[in-house]
Amino acid sequence: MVASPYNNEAPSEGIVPETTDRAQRLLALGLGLVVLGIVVHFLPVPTNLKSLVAAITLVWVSGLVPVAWLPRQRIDLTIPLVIAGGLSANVLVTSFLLIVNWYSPDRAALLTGVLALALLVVRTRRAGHR
Amino acid sequence: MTAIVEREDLRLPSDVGRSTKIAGALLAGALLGWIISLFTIDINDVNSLGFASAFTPVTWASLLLASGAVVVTVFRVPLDGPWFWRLVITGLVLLVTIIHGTPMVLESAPRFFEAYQHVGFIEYISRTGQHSAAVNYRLSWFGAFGLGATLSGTAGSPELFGAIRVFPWAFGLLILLPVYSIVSKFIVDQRTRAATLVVFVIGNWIAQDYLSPQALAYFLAMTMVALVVNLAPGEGTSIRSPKRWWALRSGPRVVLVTLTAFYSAIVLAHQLSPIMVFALVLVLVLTGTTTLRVFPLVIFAAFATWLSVGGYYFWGGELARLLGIHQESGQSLGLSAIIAQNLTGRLQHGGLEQVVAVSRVGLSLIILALAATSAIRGRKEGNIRVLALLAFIPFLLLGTTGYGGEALLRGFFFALPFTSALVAILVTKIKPRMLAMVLLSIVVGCLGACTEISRYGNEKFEQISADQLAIMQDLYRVVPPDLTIIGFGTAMPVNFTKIGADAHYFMNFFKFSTAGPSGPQAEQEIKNQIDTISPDVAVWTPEAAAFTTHTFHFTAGWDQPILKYLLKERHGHLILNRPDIKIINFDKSWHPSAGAFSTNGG
Repeated sequence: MVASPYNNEAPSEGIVPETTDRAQRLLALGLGLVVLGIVVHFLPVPTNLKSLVAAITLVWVSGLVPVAWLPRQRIDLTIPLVIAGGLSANVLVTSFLLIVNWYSPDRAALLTGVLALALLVVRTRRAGHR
Repeated sequence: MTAIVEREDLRLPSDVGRSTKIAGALLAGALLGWIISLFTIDINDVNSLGFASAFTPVTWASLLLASGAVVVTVFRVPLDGPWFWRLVITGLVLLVTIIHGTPMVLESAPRFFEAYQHVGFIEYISRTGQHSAAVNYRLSWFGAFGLGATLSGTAGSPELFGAIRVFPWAFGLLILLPVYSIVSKFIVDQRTRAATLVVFVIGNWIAQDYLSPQALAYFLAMTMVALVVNLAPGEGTSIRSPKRWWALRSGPRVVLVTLTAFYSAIVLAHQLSPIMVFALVLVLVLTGTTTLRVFPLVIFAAFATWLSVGGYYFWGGELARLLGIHQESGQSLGLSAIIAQNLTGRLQHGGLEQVVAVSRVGLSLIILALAATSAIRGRKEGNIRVLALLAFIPFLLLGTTGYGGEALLRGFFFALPFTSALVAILVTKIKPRMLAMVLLSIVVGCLGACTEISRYGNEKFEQISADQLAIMQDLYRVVPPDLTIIGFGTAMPVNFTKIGADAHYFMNFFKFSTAGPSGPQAEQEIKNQIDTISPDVAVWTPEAAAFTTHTFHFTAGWDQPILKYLLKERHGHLILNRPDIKIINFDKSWHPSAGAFSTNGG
């Protein structure tokens, strides 16, 4: 575990001293996945492969959000947390767009991805301030 | 709350390395056998016993070897070395792959018409951006279908037939992670945890693992339960000490927000699963397994809100449906009738299908009986009492929903992680002597065979060929828009595209299952339905007739007068005539070209 250089206070509920580094790593991973998804989208590869990469990227990026905000867990809980978190986030965003009658797959994917990255940035900044 | 502690290690030091080598050798043999069997299985050998009937001796041997490997690993491989979990994981992957992966690899087209219909809902949302419940009431719970549209549609039109194929296998593996996280809260002994996963794999024959909202909701539900017990753990003060129970309440905000998001996704995805999650969380809260206290009220409010708004199309005007009073022919069904539908009714088959039915009921009863024995033996331990409650509460669904015929199955599925844990606690008390290991390997192998028969035993009902699927794709591609299509079949994939554009009806022979169209009255009733629908196109496949003859004892050849009626009296024109599929056109203005169907069969 690496202590945060900004961690001058006792850890509050759900926050552990390693958070800054961990949040930064998760944010970097999220950004990397998004870049990977975009690169593959513009490569001359079959549509099915593009969809598969986009789906995995989208679920994984949005699934990183609860991982970043919750205390570190064992791997057997972290993996389902990432997958279930990503699936839930996409269900919620997609459902919202369907309800307001503004849905398209691209729009839902874009909104989910942007929200996920925004929440990861907020988490990183909050961790940095502690 | 005390978890079950690590049990005493009964092995001798000299046995340590040998057990690891034996387990590894068994796994290698199982893998080799499975790979060989992929080249020797002929899916044309499939009969009413299901996919298991095509298994060769090599396949059965590989299943037995994999069973032996997990038994030796769970009981004898040392916990302090690096190999225990590596061997457990490899063994579980092999078991799941042999049971679910063999059909996945060998079937020429992925099975189960319901999964194709779900692909149709996904395609509909992707194409229209709508979720009209008027198209189908299941779109009232559009979350899972919308998810499918988003995940599959960003690069173009959804192509999900591959997902149908791999879903049961992938689900069978992924679900083990949250199940492990849940049982690790109650059980410290790693051997018992590993045994729980083995029992779960063996007990998972319910066929709720196909591409479906319920599979998604089940995964989210189990992850949610795992989060509750691991991120807001209680120390076991139950509501029997109300003041202390209330005083010990706490719930980190981030955990609550995450859990609420998960539950909201479940509510939007599936109508039944939220009730199950509510019941499980309620047990965890009341027994003090978690420090959450008012969370059940929050999730019940979320469930009720969506049922009142999004689900209104489903129950509006039918309060009995909402209250879960299952009705048939206008008559309410009692609990005994629902149990009869689930249990005794499913046993009323003939021939090999009777074997499938007995396998299903027998496998379930064995697991439930062992779990009940374990619960009774360990009733003085708080964690076993909680596990028993968690295993029992899903069966209350019998009295609270309108699912009728499927209620017991779904109850069993949601109880399975907890019944598996109880069974594992009981079984791991067996002393790991050689004879016991051999016998236990044979028992696990036999139960695994029952799982294969139970899960993939509905061949006449579910299985289709690649040719049939290709013809259905061609049909949807070439028919003019806004046609009325009627399907005569039980397995054929329909509605996987153009939902909301074409009117599609499915001739439900099951409604005749009690009387059977052996007399002129039922035959006339079917003809009347055809006249009412007045189709433009009919798709005729033989498996419906075969299934009803085998299962419901319809007279052989009962379907021929119906076919004759379509062709002669309704002046249908056969535009495709194959033994496995016929397409009949009634629309005089539509004349498909000779090459319309890529697989015309001559």
